[in-house]
Amino acid sequence: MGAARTKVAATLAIGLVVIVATLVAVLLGTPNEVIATNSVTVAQELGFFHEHTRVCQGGERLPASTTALRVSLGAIAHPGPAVAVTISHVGVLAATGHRNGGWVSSSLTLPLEPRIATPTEATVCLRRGAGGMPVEIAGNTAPSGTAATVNGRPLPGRMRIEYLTHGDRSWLSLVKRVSRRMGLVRTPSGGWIVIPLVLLMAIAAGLGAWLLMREQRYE
Amino acid sequence: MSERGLTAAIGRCAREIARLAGDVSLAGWVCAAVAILNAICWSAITPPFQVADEPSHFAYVKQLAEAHARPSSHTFEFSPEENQILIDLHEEPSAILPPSGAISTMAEQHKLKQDLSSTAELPRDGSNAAGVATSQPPLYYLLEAIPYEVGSHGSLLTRLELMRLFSALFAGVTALFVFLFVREALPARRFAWVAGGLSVAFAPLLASVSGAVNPDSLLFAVSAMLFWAFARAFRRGLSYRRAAAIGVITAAGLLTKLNFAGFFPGVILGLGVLAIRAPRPLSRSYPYRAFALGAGIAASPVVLVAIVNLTTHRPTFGLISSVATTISDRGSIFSALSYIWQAFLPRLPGMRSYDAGVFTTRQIWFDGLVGRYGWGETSFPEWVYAFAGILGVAAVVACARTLVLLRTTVRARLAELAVYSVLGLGLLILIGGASYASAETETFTEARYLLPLLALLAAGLGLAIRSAGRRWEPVLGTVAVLAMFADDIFSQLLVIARFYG
Repeated sequence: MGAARTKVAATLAIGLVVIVATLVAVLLGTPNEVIATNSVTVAQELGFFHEHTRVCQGGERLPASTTALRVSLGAIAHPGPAVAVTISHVGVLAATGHRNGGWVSSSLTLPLEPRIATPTEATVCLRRGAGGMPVEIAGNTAPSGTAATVNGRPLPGRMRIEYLTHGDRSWLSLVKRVSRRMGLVRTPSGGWIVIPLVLLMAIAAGLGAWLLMREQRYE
Repeated sequence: MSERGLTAAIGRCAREIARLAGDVSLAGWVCAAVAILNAICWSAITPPFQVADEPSHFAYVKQLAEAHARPSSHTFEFSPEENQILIDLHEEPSAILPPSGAISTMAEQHKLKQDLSSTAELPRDGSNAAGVATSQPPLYYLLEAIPYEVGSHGSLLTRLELMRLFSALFAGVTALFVFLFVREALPARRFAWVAGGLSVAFAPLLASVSGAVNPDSLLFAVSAMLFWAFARAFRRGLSYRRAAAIGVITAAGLLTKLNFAGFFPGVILGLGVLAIRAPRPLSRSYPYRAFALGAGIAASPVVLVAIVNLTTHRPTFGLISSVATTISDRGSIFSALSYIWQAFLPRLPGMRSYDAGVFTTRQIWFDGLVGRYGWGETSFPEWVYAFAGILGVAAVVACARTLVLLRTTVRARLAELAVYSVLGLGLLILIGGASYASAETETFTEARYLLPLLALLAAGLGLAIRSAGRRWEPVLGTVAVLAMFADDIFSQLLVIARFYG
């Protein structure tokens, strides 16, 4: 009986240490941040991205140190297919990226390799994997000369593209900003909201741990 | 019924509830408390209206509370008050377009406060449009009208917060009844009850849905109650009281959300099996009368809806009739079955592919249960799902091992297991069928649809833990609860990063 309690206590202690260590590692990590966009607002559906098609959009200005793109492709209703991206500048491949199938989102983030070293005016082309449901292409109207194309045929407008890079500030250094934002939509508002939330979860964790220990009395 | 009769009936009912509450051990109440605290945290973390369909569900309650009528329009033209606040909160951009998060500046906050004050002056005449919620039954919304009324002198956000807190209570009910179900189903292993109950209490998907205005929160609770009621009846025998309890719970479920209809065939089968197996101490017809009582109460909402619809020239069973018609219009029953199979399991040879390139079992259901939030776009890095997948497969293997080891007991309880299987299958067929009936690009399957089966998942976890043997069972159970707690904490951080980062 005592041995079982000791085992549960040890498991709890090790588990909580692992969770806290992972938490610290996550908080010390740096989130991606948007460094530029192509200024297209998403206002309407432009069309669908079917299998065996290629969607391209020219005239994109990629800032230096871009490490990923976020494109207004939507697979909300069904998991999206695998999508590959190429960034080419006057016919020369500058970077490529890939995302496996199964994503569900109103926008698709594609990591790039290698990172864009200098500002580049480029054409972004997306090619999707076979099968699966069509993916929605969203964006805003644009003249056919500058519009995105599907297999060379112009769509009614351009997609929104955001350019991301690894941020230089850790989540830990952003805690104050994040808690202030969390408090904005509350009534009454304020970053104080974080404190009771942490306390509530601590109480929940404490109750859970107490119960697991207590139950060993009956085993 | 006379006033005295009604008072006596209420008194009996209250005494029965008090008796059942007294039967719950402290561990059950702790599981419930943990689940409520967790759901309250989620209700505060998720920005207003940023859980799937929350604007529609809020509009339904507003219509009930203010206009004392059900909404009739399926559009998203909510009341001017709600529409203005949705605009101020960037609800559309955050939900549909590339992630933009919640409001982030004092100017936006100032505008929101101004609009909250000005829209509070608008006439409170409900919202006849409730989007996707319009076709749902009213029980959850009627209950949510209570906190709505309590906060009626406050702003729209105050009312929403009160409604979310009220909804969080259902997470507690769910965890409590999952604990009670595991206690009835696996009576020999006390630690399995606690591990099952606590794992559900820390389940982030349950907390995130229950921490929002969404009828699923009550659906999960009622579903857990149904499984508990069956487990109790299988263990102790069918009585009038237990049959009536199953009937009342089923009726409440049918009045909560249409998805509950998936359980209906299993309920009737379960009552039938219980009636056949029941001892006949008093009279031969006693079990059959108990069956009729339970089935009659369970079917009463269905009969009522059918009568109303027939008299108003609408499809007999409302949306379910429409779905059934659409399925038959779309093709053969075999193509529907093939689609439903592939909605949950890998395609078999000879089946037409509906989800090429997508491993639905893992990518939709398992990954979703581990954690995909918002509109599905808020997700962990791939390696997290892969790691969780290893743990999931290990749990399934361990559960199967225990079932093999306990094959004598399993054989003795085969009828009970068959009833649970039919209950589960009914729900899966309903989810898959509804998805098949939808236009191809409009289908939106989410892992939360599986949460009515939380009781079975917790029992499966209890069996998996048991595979470790008495010596290591507490360690494995503790690891399971810790894993769920970790999933919960990191899911909360994920959502915080998505909306406020």
